[in-house]
Parts: sequence; structure tokens; C-alpha cells
Amino acid sequence: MGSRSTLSQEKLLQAKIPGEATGIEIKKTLCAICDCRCGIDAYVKDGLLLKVEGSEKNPVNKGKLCAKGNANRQWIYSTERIQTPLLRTGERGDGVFAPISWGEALERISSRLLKIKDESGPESVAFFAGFPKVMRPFLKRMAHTFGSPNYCTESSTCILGADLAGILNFGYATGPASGAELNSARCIITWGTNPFHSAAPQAITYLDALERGAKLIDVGPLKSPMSDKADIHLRLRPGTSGALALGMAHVIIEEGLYDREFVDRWTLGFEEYRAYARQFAPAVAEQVTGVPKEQIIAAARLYATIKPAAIVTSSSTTTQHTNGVQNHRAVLALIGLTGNFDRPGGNHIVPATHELQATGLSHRGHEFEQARPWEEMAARIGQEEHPVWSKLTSQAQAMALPQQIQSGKPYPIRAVLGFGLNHRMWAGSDFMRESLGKLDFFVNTELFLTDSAKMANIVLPACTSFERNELLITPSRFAFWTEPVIAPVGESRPDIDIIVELAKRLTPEDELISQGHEACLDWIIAPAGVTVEELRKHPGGCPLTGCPETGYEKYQEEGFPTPSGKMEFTSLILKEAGMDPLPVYRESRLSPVSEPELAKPYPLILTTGSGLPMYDRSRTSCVPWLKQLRPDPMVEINPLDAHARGIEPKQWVELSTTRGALRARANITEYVPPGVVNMSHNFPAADVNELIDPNYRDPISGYPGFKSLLCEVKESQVQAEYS
Amino acid sequence: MQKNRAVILGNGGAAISAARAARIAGHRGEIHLVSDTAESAFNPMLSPYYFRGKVPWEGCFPFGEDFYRNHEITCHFGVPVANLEATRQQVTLTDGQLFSYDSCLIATGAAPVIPPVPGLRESSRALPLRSAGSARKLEEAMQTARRVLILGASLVGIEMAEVLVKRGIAVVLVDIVDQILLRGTHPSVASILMKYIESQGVDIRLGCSMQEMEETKDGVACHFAGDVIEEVDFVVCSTGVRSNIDFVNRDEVKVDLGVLTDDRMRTNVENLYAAGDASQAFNRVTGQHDWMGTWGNACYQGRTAGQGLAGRKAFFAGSLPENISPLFEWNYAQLGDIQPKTGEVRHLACGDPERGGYNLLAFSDGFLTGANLINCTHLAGKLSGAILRKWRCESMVGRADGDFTEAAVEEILNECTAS
Amino acid sequence: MTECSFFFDASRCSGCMACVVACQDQNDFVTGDTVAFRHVSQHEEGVYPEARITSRSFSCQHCADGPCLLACPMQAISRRPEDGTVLVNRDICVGCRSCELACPVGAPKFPEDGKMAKCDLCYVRRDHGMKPACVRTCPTGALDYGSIEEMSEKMREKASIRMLKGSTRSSEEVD
Repeated sequence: MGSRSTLSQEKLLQAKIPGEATGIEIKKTLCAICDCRCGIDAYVKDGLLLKVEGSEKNPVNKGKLCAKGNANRQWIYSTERIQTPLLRTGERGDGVFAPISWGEALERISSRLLKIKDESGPESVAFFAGFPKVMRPFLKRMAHTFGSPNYCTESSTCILGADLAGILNFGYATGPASGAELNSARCIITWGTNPFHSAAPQAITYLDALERGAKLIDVGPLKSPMSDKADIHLRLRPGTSGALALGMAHVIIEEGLYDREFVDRWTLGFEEYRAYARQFAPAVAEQVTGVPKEQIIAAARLYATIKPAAIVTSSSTTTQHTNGVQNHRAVLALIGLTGNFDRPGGNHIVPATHELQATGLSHRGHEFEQARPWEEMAARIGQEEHPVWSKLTSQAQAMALPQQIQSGKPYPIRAVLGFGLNHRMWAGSDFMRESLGKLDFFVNTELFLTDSAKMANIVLPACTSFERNELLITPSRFAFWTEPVIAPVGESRPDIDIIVELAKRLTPEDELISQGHEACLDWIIAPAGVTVEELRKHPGGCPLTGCPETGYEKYQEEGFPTPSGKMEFTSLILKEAGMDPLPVYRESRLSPVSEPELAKPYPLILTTGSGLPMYDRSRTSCVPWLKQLRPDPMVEINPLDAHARGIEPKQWVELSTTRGALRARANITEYVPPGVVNMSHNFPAADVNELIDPNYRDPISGYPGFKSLLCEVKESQVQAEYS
Repeated sequence: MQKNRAVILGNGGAAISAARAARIAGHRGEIHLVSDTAESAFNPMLSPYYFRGKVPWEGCFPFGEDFYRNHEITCHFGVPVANLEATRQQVTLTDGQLFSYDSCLIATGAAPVIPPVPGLRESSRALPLRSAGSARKLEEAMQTARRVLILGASLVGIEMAEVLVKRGIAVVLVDIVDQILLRGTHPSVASILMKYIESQGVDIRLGCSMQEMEETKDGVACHFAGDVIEEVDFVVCSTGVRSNIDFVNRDEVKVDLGVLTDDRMRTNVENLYAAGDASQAFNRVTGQHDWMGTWGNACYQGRTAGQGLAGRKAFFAGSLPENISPLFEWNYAQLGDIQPKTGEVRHLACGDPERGGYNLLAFSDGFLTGANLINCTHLAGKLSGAILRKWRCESMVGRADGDFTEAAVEEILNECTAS
Repeated sequence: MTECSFFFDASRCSGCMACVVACQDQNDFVTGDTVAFRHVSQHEEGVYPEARITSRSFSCQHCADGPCLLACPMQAISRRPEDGTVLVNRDICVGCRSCELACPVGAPKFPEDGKMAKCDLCYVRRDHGMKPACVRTCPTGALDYGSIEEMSEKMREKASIRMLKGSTRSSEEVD
């Protein structure tokens, strides 16, 4: 510690030292660039944000921030931020807009939507929420009050697919990380997840666990910091998680390592499961997955014998395959099989609040959102194609949206009201963009004029988390109500306020929503005994006390919330839907095994969307500090595959699938194993989702098979940067 | 063992670094400093920055006037050395004073060479750039000049060209050889730089030999072959420097271009050291003793020698030739040996000066020996490190230059500069 | 002087680059938008299935005998008496880049004003009881800062890689 220096005010200001001498104050907020929502100390002077730092007392990040969090200033103050509501005056996609007032914008939107409702029914208007998630309950309520069942979100490709698997197995949405209790588990399996890059401030939990002596098994095709630290790295072929899990189940069952008591008393269909798992002897599992059988056996024994043990799953890596939900079910089944389900140090199921945060608090989120019963509304988008999704989630499946726009079947979709809708999220993203062009009316709320926003009739400028109020309650029950730390940039407004204003016009009969953000939140969380006013008194957040803890082994009292009341190796819901009740393994529809002929011109397996620590998809693609860390689009390819194709480091290559091709620089690296190619999403102009067929989807969840398909890579004719 | 009287001949970077190092190393005896200049130490490389207005005149004397008093140095200013008797350990100054010494350092630097062109050496309008005095003369001459000829397309010459052009003075830059920056720059790089400098308004003429110079009414007329006559206000002489060691007896002391030294800055004579531009030390790239005249080198060598004056053992493993300089809006660095004399010599280049920088690497039997960097000087320090630790490019063997794409050369660059 | 240094544990570094951006967010009043004082590089060794990928974070190492100190013609670079932090006086720097040539790790940077700028170990923050910005943000605790004694103790405890202080071209005393 040093003594107070006698530096000039200029030097203190340059060093951004908070205090009276400089007039810099520290204000509390949170970062919403990704879904971690880390606590931020915002250094503010005269209304201007000068610097950010992680908040030490916030249990989400404990003072740490990732590269993106540190770049908040450049993101918030980017000159590309939309400053006013915009009315498109040019052709769709041109980006020619004229500024209009909020009054005019709200009037145009509401009158048009009401007219379309009148002409074609409320279901012809779809309501979409991208990121962040805070406005979702409000949007869903408004959609249903309006009469439309078609509320859909970015969860059409993320978390809910994993939740589906949890519901089919256990009756519970297992939630992010499936409730793994990392602070006490003695054996951890990270299954397709790399928090070192996707949630950097939380990665230290794993380092602490390792220092405590916990064993770590990492499953995934990529060589990540997690796999480097693991005792065993099960480096499987993309899309084969189901086979690997069944291979492990084989060992655990045949060697008698499973929890007999739990299985006998609390599961349905174990005999069928055991018989099916018999088909996945380690040698067979090795053949399918590429993981040496010795490793499969060792991992299975380790996980089954060390107690307690937890499996950490990802929101997307096991589910973004054409066999995704079944893959994920097979993985989750291991938790029940080994007796780690809802037990301390294992996977603890904590029900979610209104925003899918697993806090276990009592709340009225569902009543708030589900403003009208399904029976009173038309069938949802994707309901026919994905009946299980529709039965078990309360959203439409957005992946079926472009098809319905284009076909008009079973009924036309004429308008979309979007909050952060990015067409690049869809497989066959060009098809989604084209579909947006066929709408009669499209509104998008955004920070930046993305290619999707350019397709809109009206664009509304949104606030970042620094410029708005937000409520966050973490799994550890740390409650944080934020106040804006800086004024909204330009004429931007918080998403929730925009929805409230629209609701006043679209659904004037809804008195509750018209009372605004705070009043609604108070209504939702009243059962937990929490009010916003009370939380406001604790800037930076505070732990909630006095709420009952979520217990373990809830099934002992309540049974499992499945049709049978037990954990279902054989899912009755799937059976009823005419699908395989067991967590069967099927090859991805585009794999070297399922399509050997196609694999001749496209011999490499393409996996997409793996996280980079300094980006979250294309969200921060306009931030200079981050962009310069990876200025060109890149595709990861193993040295052996590169050498075989005469590809040199950083050379421009063409990545192609049956659907299309794009140019990127070759990143020759051992990050991917031989035979696998990876491409991330940080560079919008090189959009790998354009290379994936929009119908390449899991029938159960509707999720595109982003993470396993076939491709080829070769030297590009054009060795030049993107302009 | 402590020596009593140390004599330092010279008053530049090496001399000052030596004096300071001797005191820090614990030398309690006398330190005498002998110089032909009458003021505190001047750094010649700062003159162009002074002319550009980047540093005030006082800033060109980085050690200040108090340095000598603070380090208890007895100064003999304005009195050059007349004679050095190395074996007898005594030195005679031009004013007749005679000193015997316990240890002595030759750090008399170097002085500009004026080519033996008739009429050039005697002229008061032939202006070299090296000492403080010469800088003052140039500054004065620039006040009224409209057209200037620069003799010698060296780094100094080009820097002066920039200074003059930016003052609105017409410049003709002339050299007898066929490329600019002959020392240390590859012909292909010199060609790129030349095009750029010409685009900035400098008239460059190579392969031009000045035959005579004559005074005119208010300037000089320079005569070239083919009856070419350039009438200018004055001529800048930037044709190189030569070590100031005429007072050294070559029968006693081993000398080449400069005084030869070992890795402790010792000459072949006991208790006699040499450092800086007056000396010639080990070039770690060529393995020879080469003259390398840079400020940083002088300071390191001086410091090493200074510790020796104080009776301590200190080593300086040697250096590599290196220079870095802004050239108009570009930045240019040359390091190491760009045209190695031994082994299988290869050159690889990549990049674009205006987009990310252009670099050329020189190899001998696959070992990196030198580099020229245009606008990517952030690689300079790391490349020096790679050269000194004898980094070898494994993929070079058996591949023709044409096999190396831009990306491949970039990759080599990444490999050898990987921290 | 209580000699202080950065401490870097390569076994914990995940190459997330938070340190790079935190430094830019802290220092952008000097550096503008493009220059970064800290950089992270990745290294791969070996081949599948035995390959290893490691990441390392670098900045100025505040060498005990930095070549930049002697190389600067203006004597603009010096060590702080309290803790040896190497600082450049931008008021007298002329932008000659001699330090860039001398530095073996590429620490000197040149923002738009042409003068040298580099990691100053956040000495003003430290004087006010705060950590260097990079250390403060490092999500895995790979980066730390403290006295040589403290950091040596840490190294002994963890047996990790430490960045060495000192340059490749200094004079050494041998007796």
C-alpha cells in the first residue's frame, strides 16, 4: 500500500482515480453483453462513463470481468449506436432510414399491428425476444394479451433444448449447468462446456475445485483450457455425446456401479435402458465416438465411484444436433443412474424464477407471462412440426418462423415485433433474412443497425444495461436492482419501457403492465417477500435472507413431476408423441457415418459457434478493442488436414458445405482434432449459418444441427481481406 | 584493486556513461575528463529532432551541466588530446598538460568525413552534422536558404532532407553509390524507401560523383559529371563518420576503423579501455569486430568500461548493428546483417508499408541475420533478440523463395518474434 | 526500494484477453483507441493427440536493468525509487523509437502523438491502494503483482512459470 500521492489533478484524472480530487464516482450496475450479468463498478464523472471494473462483492463475478466486460465503454459509446427511432425510407436491407419521434414510431407500430390483427388475426403477429432476457416476461404477456400465441425467443436454439431433456428424464428443467454443485463435488464432468471462454469470471470455480483435489473429466472435441486441466479428456467426434453417454452407462451398469436403490425405487424403464446400453460396449462406443475405450471405461468408473459427482452441461453443445435432445437425455440419465440427482455435491435441481434464473424463490412469473391460456389462441409456430417442444415449453419454436412466413401455412405470419432479432441466429440465415423481407411489417429494437435491423420498417433504439433499470436475482440469491449509471445514449429507451408503451396502445385493457416495470416486478416476486423499493436501498445488490432454501431429494416427498412420478429412462411423453422413449443414439443426419457418399466431397466435420472469450457471437463486432484481437474471420483446422490440402497458416480458404461457401483465414491449430473444422460467429459478413440448411433440425426441440455437419476446406481463389 | 586516477578521453554518450558507472561502482579516486568541446555532453542523434522542433536546444544535452560536479569529475574542456602513450600510461593534451593515469578510456567518438572533393573541405558552406557546433551552424544556414544539396544518402542525410523539405527549402540528395542507405539496407527495400522519399518532394540522384565545388556570390556551385551544375545555398555533408583516434599510436594499440576491444572493453594494452564510436567491438551477428556507431551501444560500452576503470570486472557480450528512424511519415528500422557474407543467403519479404508494414528478413543457412522494417518497427526489438539468439527457420531448407507466400513469411515472423 | 514485479502463472492463463482490454480501458486517455500495452500470445507444441496449447500475457517487464534506460537519448526513461517501476517522461520524449529498438519484448508503444507510452504498472492506482488494472480483472488469477518477496513465496508455493525480470542484453557483474 502506498501513501497518498501529491500528483496533479490531471495525472489523477488520467489514471482515473475515483474520489473528491477528480470528481469520479463509482456507481453500481451490471454488464449484459452476455448472459452472465457480472457486477460492474462504473467509474462516472459528470455523467460520462470513464472506466469499468468488476464489483468485488458481487457473487457472480467477484470483481472479475472478461474481455467483453472490459470493453463496455466502447460498446456503449460506439458511434454506430442508433440514436433515434428510425423509419425505413429506402429498400429493405439498404440501410436507408429517416429519424422519427418516439410518438410517431409508437403510433405507427401500434396502428399497423392492430390493423393486421383485425385483418388476419392476432396470431399473424409474432413477438420475438433476442438478447438480453430481462424484457421477456413483458413481451410474452403483451403477446398473449394481444391474442397471439407466437412469442418466441433466442431460447429456440439455446437452454430450453437442454431443459427439455431434463423434463423428459426427470420432470424438471435442469437449467444452466444442470445445477452442478461445483463447490462440493469431488468429481466433475464438464460436458461440452468451456467456461474459461464462455463465462470467464466463473472459471476460477473450476481451478478452486481442482486445487481442492476434485477429479475432472472433460468431454468435447475441442482442446480448451478445461480439457488441458482435466484428468481425462474424452475427445469425441461432434454429435456423438449420446453414444458416449450410453457407453459410460454400459460400464456403470455392467460393473454394478450404479445406485441400485435409486434406480429400483425411483426410475421407470431401467430394464429397457440396460438392454439398450448393452449395445454400447466400450469398443462400440470407441468406434462411434473416436474416444479410446480405455478412457471411456476409466471415466465411467471415476464418475460412478467418486461421491458426490456432478455433470456440468452446456446450453447448446449437446443439443444443437439433429439428435440433440436424445443426446442430452443420455447424458443427464447418468446423473440419475449414479445417484447424484438432486443430492448435495451432485446436480441440485433449483426451480427457476421468471427469467430462467435458478433461485428456487416463490414467484408469479408464469401467471404474469401466460396472460391467456393456450386453448384460447391459435396453434403456435412450429407446433405441428415440434409437438414435444410446444408441449413442454411456453414458447413458439422460432426456427419454424421463416418457413411459416414463406408458406403461409397453417396460417400467415404477416408481422414480427422483434427485440434484438438477428437473422444470423437461424440455420440458413439467408433464408430467414429473405423471409423477413416477405413480411408486411417488421419492427426491430436494437443497439446497432445490424443487417437484420436494415430489413425492418421501423427500428427502435434500445438502452444498454448501464442506461436502464434491471433486476437480477442469482442462484445464490443475491438480489440486485440496478439504477442507470449514465443517461440513455441519444433517444434510446429501455426495452421494458418500450414494451410498456406499446402495451398501452396494443393491449390497453392490461392494467398491470401499464403500471410499468417496477410495479410488474413487485407483482411477480411478491410471494418471495421482495420489493424493488427495498432492493433499491442496496446499490450493488444484497443477499436475500429469510427465504427457505431449496431442498435436496425433493422427489422423496413429491415424487418426480413426470407422468409416471419417477425418473423416466423411457419417457412416456416421447412415447405418446410417437418417438423413441429411450435416449436413443442416432448419427447426425450429415455425418461421415450417416452419409458416406456425401462425405467424399465433404470429408470434414464442421462444428460451429464455439465461444471465443472476447466475443459473444457478433454482438460486439463493432467494438475496436475487441475487433483488433481477431480482425479477420477464421476457421480452425488441424495441422494434418491443412497439410493434406496444402493450406498455409492464415491463408484465405474456402469453407463449403452442400448449401454454400464462405471465405475465411485458416487458423491452423490443435484446438480441433484431425477431421474436424470449427468456425465461430464473430464476423457477420462471414456467416457460417448460411451454410446450414434451415430444415436441418432436431425433431424434438426444433434446434438446428449447428454443431455437426459435413464440409470441405480448400485454398481460396481470392486472397484478400473483406472490404 | 582500486585505481586512483582515471582519465576519460571524450565527452559523449560512452564517456559520460563510463564516468557515471565508475562512480556507482565505487571509484573514489580522481576522474579526469578531456574533451575538444567546451560544453556538457551533446547527443548528435538529437539534432534532427531539434531541427524538427521536437526538442529544445537544452534538451540535446541530456546529462546537463551539473553532471560533472555531481560526479566529481575534473573537466578539461576545449583541449583535445595530442598524444597517448599507452604503455607508459600517460596522455598529453594540446595545451601541453601531461597526465599519468592508472586507467584510461578512449571515448573520443567519431567525426564527419568530408570527401576529398576539390573546394569542399575548405568551404565554409560545407556543413557536416555531428557536434553541437555543427548543429548551430546548420540552424543558422537554414534560416535564409532556399536550395540545399545533401551529399550522402545516409540516414542522417535523409533526415536532413526531411527537415529541409518541411521548411520549404528545395533539396537535392546526391550519392556516389547506386542505392540510398547502403549500410544495412537491402537494395529492394532501399528502392521502396527511395520512391517514398521522392514522393515527399526530395530530388534524389544516385551514382553521382561531385567533381568540384566553387564559391559563388551567395552560395556554392557543385559540379557533377556531364556538365551538371547545381547552385545551392550550402551543402550538407552526410557521407559518414570516422573514429577520432589520430592520437593513438598504432604500433602500440591495435586499431582497425576504431580501437579494437574485447568483451570487457579492454584494448590490447593493460589499463587502457575504449568505448563508443571511437572503438570497434564484437558484432554478434557477423562474429567479427565491426564498427557500430549508435548511442545505445556507446552507453552500454561506456558503462562496461566505467566499471573496469573502477577495478571491477564487467562484460558486454557485444551488439548488433541497428538503427531506427522516422523518415517523413514512415518509420524505418534496420538491424543486423542484411547481406550476410557466408552460408546460403536467403531473403524473404512480406507486407505493405501502408497497410500493416513491410518487412524483409535475411537468413544465412536458415539462421536469421538481419531485418529491414518499414512501419512495423514494433517488431524491431524482438527481431534483434531472435537474431542474437541465433533463431533458425526450420522450414527454409529445400524451399525456394517463391514457395514462401505472404502468409508463410508472416508465420516465420510470428515464430521468431514469439515471446 | 522494495522491488516489485508482475507475477504470471501460465498454468492458470486461459488466453481470455481480459487483461489486454482492461489495460486499454484504464489507459485510453493516453493511448487512444488502438494501442494496447499488454498482449496475449498463444503457443502450440506437439501434435495430436499429445498437443499442448498455452497462453501467455505480456507487458513491459519493468526490468531491473532495462535496455531502454540506456538507449533513450533524452534520458526520458527511469526507475521509480519506491519500487523500480520503469516510467517514461512523455514531456521530454521525442519519439525517436530507440527504446522500441532496444526492448526485447516490444513494450514501447507509440500512440498518435508519436511519443512513447507503455505499461506504467498502474503506479498511480497502486499509490491509492488499488491493484494494476490487468491484475484486478484477471478472471483466473493468473496475473498478480507484489513485492519480489511475496511473489517468490507464491512461486515457491505453486511452482509455476514466472516472467523473468531483466533483459537479454545487459551488462552483468561477475566476480
